Amino acid sequence: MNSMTSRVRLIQPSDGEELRKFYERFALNFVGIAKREARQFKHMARKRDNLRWVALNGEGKIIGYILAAYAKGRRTGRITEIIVDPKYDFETVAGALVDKVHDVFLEKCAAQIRAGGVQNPDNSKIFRRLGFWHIKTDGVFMYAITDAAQFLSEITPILVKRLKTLSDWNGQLRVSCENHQISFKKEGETVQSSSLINDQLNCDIFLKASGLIRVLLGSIDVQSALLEGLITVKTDLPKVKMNELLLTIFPKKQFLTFDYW
Amino acid sequence: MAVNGHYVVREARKGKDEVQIARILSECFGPVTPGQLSQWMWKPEVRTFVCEVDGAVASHINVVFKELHLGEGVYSKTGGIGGVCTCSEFRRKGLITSLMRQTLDYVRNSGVSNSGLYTGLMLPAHRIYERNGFCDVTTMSSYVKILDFAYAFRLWLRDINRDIKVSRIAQKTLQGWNRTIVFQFEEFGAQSFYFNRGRFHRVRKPPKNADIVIATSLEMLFRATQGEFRFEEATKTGKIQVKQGTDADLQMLRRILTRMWNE
Repeated sequence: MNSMTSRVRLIQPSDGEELRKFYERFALNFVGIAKREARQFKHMARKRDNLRWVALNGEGKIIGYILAAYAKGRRTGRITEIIVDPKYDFETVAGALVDKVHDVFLEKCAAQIRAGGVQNPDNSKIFRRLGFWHIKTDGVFMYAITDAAQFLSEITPILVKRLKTLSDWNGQLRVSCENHQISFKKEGETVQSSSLINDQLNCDIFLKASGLIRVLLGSIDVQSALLEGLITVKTDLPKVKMNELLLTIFPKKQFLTFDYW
Repeated sequence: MAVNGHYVVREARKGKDEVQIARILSECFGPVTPGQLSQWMWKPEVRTFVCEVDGAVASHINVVFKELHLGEGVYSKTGGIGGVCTCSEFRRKGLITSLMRQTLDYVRNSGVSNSGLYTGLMLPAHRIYERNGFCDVTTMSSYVKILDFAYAFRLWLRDINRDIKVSRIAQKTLQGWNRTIVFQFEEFGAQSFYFNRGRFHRVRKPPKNADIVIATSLEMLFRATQGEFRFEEATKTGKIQVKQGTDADLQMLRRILTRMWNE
C-alpha cells in the first residue's frame, strides 16, 4: 500500500471526468453506492467556498477527494463525502483532506461540524483523532425486492463473475428466491446462466427475499444467514466446498452510500 | 382502522398540491415552504404520489430513481422512496399502507425490481415498511464536533421551536404544558429556559425553583435524542441525571427533545 501523498488542491471543473472514473473505481469495493455522472462533479467544482479538495500523488494524479458544505446562518459545517484510492493509505490521504476542510471551517467560525449518514468504517480513525463524537443514530437504510424474477436476472452478471473466480469447482448451481430461480453451469472458466430448471444440480440455494438483500448488500455474512435460516442449501457437495461456493458468490461487502433522496 | 370518508391515491398535481404537501412535510420533517418544495418536486426524475381524503391531501410519498452498485461493477435501478408522511389527524388509518402499496406497484410497473428508503428504527413507519417487504440493511451514524457549545445548543432548541410551530400534533400535545427547565451542562454551565406556548424561551437568570433540572453533558443529551440509547435508560444509568422533575414532565421533555409525538 502506498502511503505517500504529496499535496491537496481545490477541485476544478476540469476534474469532472477524472473524478467520475475515480469514484467508479472506488465504488467497486463497496455496495450501495449510487452511479454518478461527470457533470455532477463539474457542478460541485463550480462552488467557490474552498470546501471541495482533491489529494494528488507525486505525479499529480488524483488519489482522493473530499466534499463539504457550510451553512453560514447556522454556523454548521458538513463533511459529505471522503473518497480515497484503495491503493493508498486511507488515514494519510483522508487525514490531509479532512484537516484542510477542518481548517476552512475554523476560518469560517463554525460552531459545529458534522459528518452524517452511512459511514465508511475507515472514517472513524480520522474523525476520532480530530475530537469528533461518534453518535449512533436510529436511522436505517431499508431495501425491498419488488420483482424477484427481474432482480435475479439483474444480479446474474454479478454471480457469473464471482463463480468464474472459483477455480477448482465445476458443476451446476441454482439460486432461488421467492419462487423464481436462476441456474448456472460452470465448466472451467465458462459460466452459463439460464432461468430453466435443471435436474442435475450440485447445489440448490434457496434465499428468502430478506436473505438475498442482506447477503448481497453486506448486512450479514453468508454463514450467519445460514444459521438464521435466511438461506437453505441442498447439495451433494462436501460442507467445506459448499461453504467456499457460498462465500464466493456472496462475499461480505461493505455497504456505503453518499447520495440520499 | 379505516379512514372515514372517500380516499383516492393519485399523482400530485403541479400548481395545486404544493401548499398542502408542504404543510404535511413540515409537520413530519420540519419547516418547508411550497416554493422550496416546487424546486425539487417537479424535477423529471422525481414522481410524487398523494392520498387525498375528501378532497384534501392527507399523505405523501415521492420516488426518485437511482442506480445503486450491487457488486462487480453492476448497477441496478432502484426506486428510492422518500418523504413518507401523513397529516397527524389522518394517522393510524391505513393511508400510508395504501399509498406505499400503490407506489411500489408504480416502481414495479416502471420495470424497476427493487426499492430503498431511509427511515428511523424507532418510528412507527418502520413497521409499515417491514410489512411491505423492506428489510434493514444498515444503520446510520454521525460524527459531530462542537466548537461552540452554547451556540450549538441554542441552535438545536431553535430548530425544535421551529418544528413545533409547524406541527399540529406537537402543539396539541404541548397545549397547556408550561414549565421552567434548567440544563446543567458539564461543558458550558447552566442554561435556563421557560417552555411556554410550545416553545423554549431563554431565561437569563436561572429560576429559583425550576420544574425540571437536568445535569448532563451535551454529548450525552445528543446521543440520547439521536436514538443511540433511550432517554429513560440514560436517566437510570446516570448518563443524564434528573435533579428535579416528575416522571410525566420528563416524558414530555423527552418527546420535545426527540420530536416523537406519536408513541
